[in-house]
Amino acid sequence: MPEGPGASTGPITGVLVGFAHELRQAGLTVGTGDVLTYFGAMTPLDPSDLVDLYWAGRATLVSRHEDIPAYDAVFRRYFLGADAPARSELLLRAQTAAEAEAALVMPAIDPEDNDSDEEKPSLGWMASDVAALKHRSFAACTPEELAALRRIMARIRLTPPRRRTRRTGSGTRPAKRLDMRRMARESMRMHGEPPELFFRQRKNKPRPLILILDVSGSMADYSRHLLQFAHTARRASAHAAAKVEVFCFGTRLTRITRELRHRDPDAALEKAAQAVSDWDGGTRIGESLDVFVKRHARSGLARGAVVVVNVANAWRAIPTLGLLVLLVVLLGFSPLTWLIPLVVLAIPAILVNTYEGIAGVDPDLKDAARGMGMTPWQVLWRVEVPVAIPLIMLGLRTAAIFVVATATIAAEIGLGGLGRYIIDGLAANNYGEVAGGAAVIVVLALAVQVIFVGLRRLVVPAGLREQVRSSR
Amino acid sequence: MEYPGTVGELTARLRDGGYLADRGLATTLLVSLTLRRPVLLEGEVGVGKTEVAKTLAAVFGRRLIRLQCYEGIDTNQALYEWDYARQMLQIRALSQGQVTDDAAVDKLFGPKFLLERPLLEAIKQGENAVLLIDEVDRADDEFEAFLLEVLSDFQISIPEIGTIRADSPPIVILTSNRTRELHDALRRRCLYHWIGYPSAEREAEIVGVREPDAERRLTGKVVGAVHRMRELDLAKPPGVAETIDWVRTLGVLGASDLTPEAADDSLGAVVKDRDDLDLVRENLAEIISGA
Repeated sequence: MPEGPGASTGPITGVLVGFAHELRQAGLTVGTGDVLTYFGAMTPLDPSDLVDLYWAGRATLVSRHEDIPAYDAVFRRYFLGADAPARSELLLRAQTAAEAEAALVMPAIDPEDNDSDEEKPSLGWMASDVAALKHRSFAACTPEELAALRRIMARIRLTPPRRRTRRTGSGTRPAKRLDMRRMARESMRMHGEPPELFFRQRKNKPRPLILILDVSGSMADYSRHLLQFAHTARRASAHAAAKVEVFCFGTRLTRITRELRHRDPDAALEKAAQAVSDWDGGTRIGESLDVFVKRHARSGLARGAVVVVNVANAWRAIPTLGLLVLLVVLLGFSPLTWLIPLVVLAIPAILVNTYEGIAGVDPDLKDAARGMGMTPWQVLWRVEVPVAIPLIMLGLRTAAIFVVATATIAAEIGLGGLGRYIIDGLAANNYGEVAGGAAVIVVLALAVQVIFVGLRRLVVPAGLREQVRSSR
Repeated sequence: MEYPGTVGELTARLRDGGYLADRGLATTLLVSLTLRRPVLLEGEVGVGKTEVAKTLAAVFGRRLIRLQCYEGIDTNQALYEWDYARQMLQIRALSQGQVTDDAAVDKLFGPKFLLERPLLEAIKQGENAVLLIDEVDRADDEFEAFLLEVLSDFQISIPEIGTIRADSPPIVILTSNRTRELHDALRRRCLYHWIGYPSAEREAEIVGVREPDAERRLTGKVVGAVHRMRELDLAKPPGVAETIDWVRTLGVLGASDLTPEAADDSLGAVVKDRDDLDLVRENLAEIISGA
């Protein structure tokens, strides 16, 4: 550092260090090195000039755009406030009051007002809308939860799909460009004999993963788990060298990637909870996604990324009963009326399991199948589906049990079925009838379970059976 | 090299070079010149981040060395590369002549075969260069980490030659469009300045400096229209560069006033996105009449 605070800067040193301290309190990361640079920066400037103090500090102590408002606030309080710590020591000594006032205009107008107005109106609008913006204070995890979480965390391995980057490495597979560096080196070893050809080959790299989590009211029960998952994914991504970005939305979108950076899950969730202001509020999926696309995706954040929005869960959150009533209004009483909600209920379990099953098929296996000359359809039906069958069956079983258990609501709108006994019994305070109805449903569900176990035995290929038994 | 000693002086020098720096930018640059620290400039597209480096180079009579970043840029493209084709020829020649002389081999890795890339060039030039590392956010993490090393010591080790050190570091300007979070460590190495859109008066002034022939009244109208466009929900809001382009285009078209027809004809100079174009066309009357 070409600078040392001169003899005349005695009181200023204290003031500036105090200022840096205040900034740290406000959440900025200001290192000692930065403070030294700040002193250094004052050499060509006039330390008694507020504007110089402001801009030098902004250049040296602030390192990201988002921190500027916080910096402005602290600066105003520290140097310009009525009981500003710095005022008596520094400014009134050096500046006439009039000059200080003139200088005051500069930071007070806040040069950022122009730039960040995209932020401000939306805030004001939120406030005027009296949307319930509440900060959620997470109860700290219980020790058991924490232990369970750590166990899961240790096990989670993030393997996002990979993409080819423009970064290249050396290899022998023919490609467009020769690896001249390596060729030259190798031929030197061989006394000028050209060696085998080396090429620059494009490397693969995990795609970034973007989680957009719904923390609105309908998802209240899940939001904590979602955040935990996001935190875990972020930690796990360190192993896979993948990038994970996390956003939350209810009524507005909040980026909480930085908040989740903390190692300790409790502290990270705490920070995230502070950042998100619309816990358990309404849901504005469309608007939140719009903000995501406009502000983040367009600037390249989502380029080539895997974007996960927990819509599958929202799908599940469609209240079956509500759908049922709606369909009664639309279709009247017909078999379709109770069939549609049950199908809707069953889809997610089957879909997710089937997808996971097919996606999880060992690529080597597929490679081998292709190598044997199978067509894509043959690969699907003869390799992928049979291998994925255990998971697909699991999905079917889950869905079937869901459906059996939920079919009782058909009685709610007078369509009969086993639910009749439960609803009638409840209405007439005849709990024996309720218990009887419930027991029959339980038996039915168990029967379905047994049928599916048997079915699985039939459809799972013999070669997989051993493996399935040992892994489940 | 003599640097201006005060913010006012620096602002005046930059103005002579055709760049209007506000107080904040001038202060940051002055501090950077004094402390010999790199400056990281962030801001919206087209607010003159790159222009800063160009003007600095022009005003102080330095050479501008520009390193445009892109995904996958590596040391071969940023730092140095050996001229392999010539080296291979040399090797063949040597092996034919049965030369056993060490010196001949040494020559193979001499300056003759070294291709300098921007970073090495800048370090060799030292104080005589302005190094512009443009759009760092486009490069990947690996390159950022490498840059860190160069920016902190201003020295480069080439295994075959040794360490090359800058006697006095060049002026370094980094720009970023924030498509990606830069790593904290890199930010720490730099002074930081955010360039936002200028106010209407200032923008008119900037246009006046860059396009002295433009009519003041027309400029005012154009600037007003551009400001209203930025308030629309555009995918690519026009920057200062677009404003200047628009004024220039209108000049070429010989328009003396910003009529709806003239604006419609020249809209391509400001709005560079199909959807935005539709949106702006819809509101064209409003955008212009406000002026």
